[in-house]
Amino acid sequence: MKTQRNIGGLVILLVALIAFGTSGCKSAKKGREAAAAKARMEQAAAEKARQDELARQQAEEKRLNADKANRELEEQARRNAASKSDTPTSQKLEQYFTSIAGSSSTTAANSSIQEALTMFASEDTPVLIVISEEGGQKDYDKPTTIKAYLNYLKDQRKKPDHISNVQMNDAGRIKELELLKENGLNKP
Amino acid sequence: MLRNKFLLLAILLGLFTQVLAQEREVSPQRKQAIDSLAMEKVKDLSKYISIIGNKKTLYAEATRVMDRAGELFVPDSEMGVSSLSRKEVNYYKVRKYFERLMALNYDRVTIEWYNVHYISDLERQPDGRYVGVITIYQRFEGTSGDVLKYKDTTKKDITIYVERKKTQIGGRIVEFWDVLLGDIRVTETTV
Repeated sequence: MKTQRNIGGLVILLVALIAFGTSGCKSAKKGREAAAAKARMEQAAAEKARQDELARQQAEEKRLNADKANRELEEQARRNAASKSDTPTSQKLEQYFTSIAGSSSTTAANSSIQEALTMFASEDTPVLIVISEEGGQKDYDKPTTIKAYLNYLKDQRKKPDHISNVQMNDAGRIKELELLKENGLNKP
Repeated sequence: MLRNKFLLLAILLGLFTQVLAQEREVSPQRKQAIDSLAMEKVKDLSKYISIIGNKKTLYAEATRVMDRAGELFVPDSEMGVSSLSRKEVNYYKVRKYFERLMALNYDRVTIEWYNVHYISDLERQPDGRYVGVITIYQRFEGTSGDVLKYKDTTKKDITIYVERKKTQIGGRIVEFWDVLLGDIRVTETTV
């Protein structure tokens, strides 16, 4: 009787152990699944963050490009307007350039230089020379001053560069000049 | 999580490298314009030298032209001077060379540069500068009275340095190509 009771107790204990063991395995499996799900979610979140960052960068780049294009258009429009309003100035200046480059003597060239300088805000007025232009990007030679450029024409006696932009100050004098080299017309 | 961070870092690094590479690239058209600009500087020097050597040039003008010609060079550059009467080539700082040229003891000096051409194309160096070599032939004639006292033809190699620089003009930053000439070496002297 006593032995039967002991056996019964053992069976109950065994069943309890099996039940507990199964439950323990199930719970460990559930834990692993939860961890895996969490990792997947984190990975997905990171991927989404990366995609969002890329999309943001692309949008920013697009916006910057659009801004740049707008600025270039505005700049071009401004220059066109300036060129139109300054046509007589440009023509007069071009005449001086040609006269200086073709002067028969140093004295005559110096005289023309002095006259031409009266059109400028100062003899140090900056002169930018475009050597090439591509996709809205300009390449310049080393900037010089109008006095140095006029003397350059006198010394080198070469064909002057094309006048591409003239900026005037409030007093009606040229405050900045942009020239374009003949070989600087590298537009796409 | 850490892997994703590395991935993002690698992507950003890639984009940065691409932007840098784009900045370094100069299209063939732009490169051609830079080549032409360097060639033009050499031809400008040729004209300045003939003005300085010309005995009819007024002293004030010659001095001004020497200043302008000097601006074409990297500081401390040297010019080679050869003669048919000696084997060695003497080298002078360019300013000194101009002064000696102006003081030459002839009534008339004619200096002409011709066949100006690249013998080594402008190539980008690791420091970002472009370096090339232009060769010129110089015909020199010194006359006293009606007598031609000396003449020779010299082949010279000029090192060219081109560098991208920035300056401020009218409140804005302007990027430009600074072309400078280096030493001028004599490679051949003939009658």
